[in-house]
Amino acid sequence: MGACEEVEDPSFSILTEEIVNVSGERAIVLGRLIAFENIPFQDHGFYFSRNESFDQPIILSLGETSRPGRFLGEVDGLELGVGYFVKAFGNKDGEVIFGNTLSFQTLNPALQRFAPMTQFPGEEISIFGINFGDDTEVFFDGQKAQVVEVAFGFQIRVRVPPMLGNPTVELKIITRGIELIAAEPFNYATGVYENLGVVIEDFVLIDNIFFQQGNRFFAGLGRDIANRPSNHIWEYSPGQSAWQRTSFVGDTQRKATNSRTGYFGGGVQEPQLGGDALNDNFWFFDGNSFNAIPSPPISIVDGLGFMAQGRFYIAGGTFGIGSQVYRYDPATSMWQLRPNLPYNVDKSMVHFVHNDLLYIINKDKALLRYNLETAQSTLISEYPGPFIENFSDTGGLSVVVGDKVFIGLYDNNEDMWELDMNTLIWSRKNRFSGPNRGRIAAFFEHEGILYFLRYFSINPRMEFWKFDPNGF
Amino acid sequence: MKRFLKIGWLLSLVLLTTCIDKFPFTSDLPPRILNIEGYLTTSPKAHQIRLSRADIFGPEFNGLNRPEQLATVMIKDDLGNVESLNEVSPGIYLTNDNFAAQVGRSYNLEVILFDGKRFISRPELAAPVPEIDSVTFQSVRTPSLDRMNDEIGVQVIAHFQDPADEQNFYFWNILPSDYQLIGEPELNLNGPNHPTCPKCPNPLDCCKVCYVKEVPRPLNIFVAEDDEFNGIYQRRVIAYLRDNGIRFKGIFRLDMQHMSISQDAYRHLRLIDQHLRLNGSVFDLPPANIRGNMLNVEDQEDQVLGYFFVADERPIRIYIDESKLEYVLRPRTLIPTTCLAFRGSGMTTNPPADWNPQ
Repeated sequence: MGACEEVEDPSFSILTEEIVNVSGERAIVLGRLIAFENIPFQDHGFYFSRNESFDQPIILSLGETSRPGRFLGEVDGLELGVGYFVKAFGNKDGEVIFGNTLSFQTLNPALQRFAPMTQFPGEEISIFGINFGDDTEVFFDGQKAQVVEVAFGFQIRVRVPPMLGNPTVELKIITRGIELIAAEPFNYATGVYENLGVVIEDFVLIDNIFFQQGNRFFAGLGRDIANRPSNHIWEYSPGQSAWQRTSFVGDTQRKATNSRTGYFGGGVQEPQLGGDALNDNFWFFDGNSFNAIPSPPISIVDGLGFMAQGRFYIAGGTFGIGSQVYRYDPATSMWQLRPNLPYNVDKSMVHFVHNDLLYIINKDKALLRYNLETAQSTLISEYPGPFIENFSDTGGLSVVVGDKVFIGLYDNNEDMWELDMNTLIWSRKNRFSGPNRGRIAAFFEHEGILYFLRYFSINPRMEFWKFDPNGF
Repeated sequence: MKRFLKIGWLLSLVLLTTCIDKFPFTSDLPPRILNIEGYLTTSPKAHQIRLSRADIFGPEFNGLNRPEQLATVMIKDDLGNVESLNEVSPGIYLTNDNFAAQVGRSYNLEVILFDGKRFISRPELAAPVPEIDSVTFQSVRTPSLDRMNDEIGVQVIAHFQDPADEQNFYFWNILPSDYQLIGEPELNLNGPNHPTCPKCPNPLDCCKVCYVKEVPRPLNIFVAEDDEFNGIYQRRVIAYLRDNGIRFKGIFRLDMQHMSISQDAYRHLRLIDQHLRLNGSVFDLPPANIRGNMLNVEDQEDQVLGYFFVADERPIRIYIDESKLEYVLRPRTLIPTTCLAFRGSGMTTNPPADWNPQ
């Protein structure tokens, strides 16, 4: 009976089951050891090779095992964009047993986009694409940049190197010897600020109006930081050494609404006993003199004013209905009620007109486009800078230059941004180089250069600055 | 003789008591297995992956499925494109708003937990789904455990041509759906503590029709493979909605997904459906963890629950009007007050913006 017993080796199979995932230089492969009992293997894993004969294979060893079941192996350091063969193996008592052979193709890298497209030197940008290797290098016009991280083969975080002269540079990466160039150039943040040192003597403008006609800048009314009301309007032209007082003869007028083009009015006048007195006078500067125009049917304080289609609009404000809109037509000298805005607005909100459409940035940073004819409002973008409620979410400037709008310098904030109205892409500009705890009182534009009056509550004063958006 | 009998009784009593010996036993707590739920379809939207830890589920205690937070979650395609998901709430990870799978591409879900453990799904192919020609519905009456009352429900039927030259696996998924909740405010009564007239009629003017969103329960999983109907035109039940006396008092708007899935996903969903149908009989399947398609890259013994699948999707939306049903559950459930008071929050008298039963 005993002689009839025969010890047989347990039967088993090794299977190369599936290529789980392949990227540029990595592959994850699934194998399986099929058996009805535990079988000791001194080693198991996968062989990878560029050819089916598996000469000079890459051996991925997963070590000893005895349990039947699946095993997973990940190999890296493969060549990009080439074919590979793989087979599972098991080493039992010195004999290497192989499974079936599968094949796969590693992937080629590609550069898809990077963001942000404008950045400061020393800050980071992210480059997105596919199948980046761990050895990826990034160059800005030939200048090698510090790669902070290559994350999972699809995102490169890179620190922008110093600008060597040209603010617009080619962005190139080299991964596993393959060179890739971004379709769009990278832009360094530009913009140069200059304090012109030209001040309005002994006055800090608050709650004021401002407007521009050609190269003539006007600012005035409002009050001083010492709460002295004013009925003065000053004028300045680029190149002059001082602001000149104009011949305006109206009453004091604070928190007036202005079109930025020469129409202004409303608000309140010199404080009276029992509170502010409304001032419903409206004016237009025709280039030579200030002329009174009819008052609108409503009183408006801190209203939002703008010109569109050659007509003067007033809207909202902090007195009365905050969404009401009236339009003054110079051709008929008549005011006309227009559809209410779908939200309340006031003068503290950045707004501008482009192609006769009104744009408003609300206190949630939403950029809203409002069609004055159809009364439709659309959310189109978001202001990318930070807002702090009741601290840096009011004030600011917005200057339209062609299809670009420069927006920023909110209260107590130094950020400046450029918005491309065709692509709605925001680009950083250099931060304001003066003290940031200030507020914009007036802003103008001449030949692509921005000018602005900014006042400071600490060491009360007002400064007149020039900003060249393309300077570096 | 009597004495012997007494002794015998006493002996047997002693023997019996000594035989009953309490065996101290405490079962091991099951490991809190990682649970990965989510799927990707060809519809552009924010697709969701949910990560949690499985916990005890039983008659005495149901554990909390705690979310798995701070994980890195990515969906990769076979070209190397990577979609990184953002954690929008604990354990809930979303793609970008307009992300969608492409038919013909295969996808892996990769998850790296905060503790560094890395998981990857087996590749899932987005196979094209046959178009649906139409969707109809019919009410059905089926015998129930209650001998006095049959169960009434609505079958939703899809009409489509199954392609002959390929193997197809289908999954019909019910989404949260809106329906009209009909109240009877004219039957309102004063409360029992009313100072002058308790429980007296006090008809209300408002509100008779409210709108509610729900996923109809009980939930069944409707899947199919075309082994038995390959190439044959289908008139197939793809959903069943039980009439609970409230759901079909007005108009029910059913939102569903008609999807193609892989063979492995089909098997997984079918097993889940079988588990959902367990009712405690001797013919039930033994309950067990269902192995999904997620693999721990470093430790193959680590079990993960859940299955990541990819599907080509066609949305389905039908309005089921009570007036078009042959049977409805009688008597209807009355809501003798404003419908707004029925379930508290979430009830509104405004229909959804895209409500269009015509």
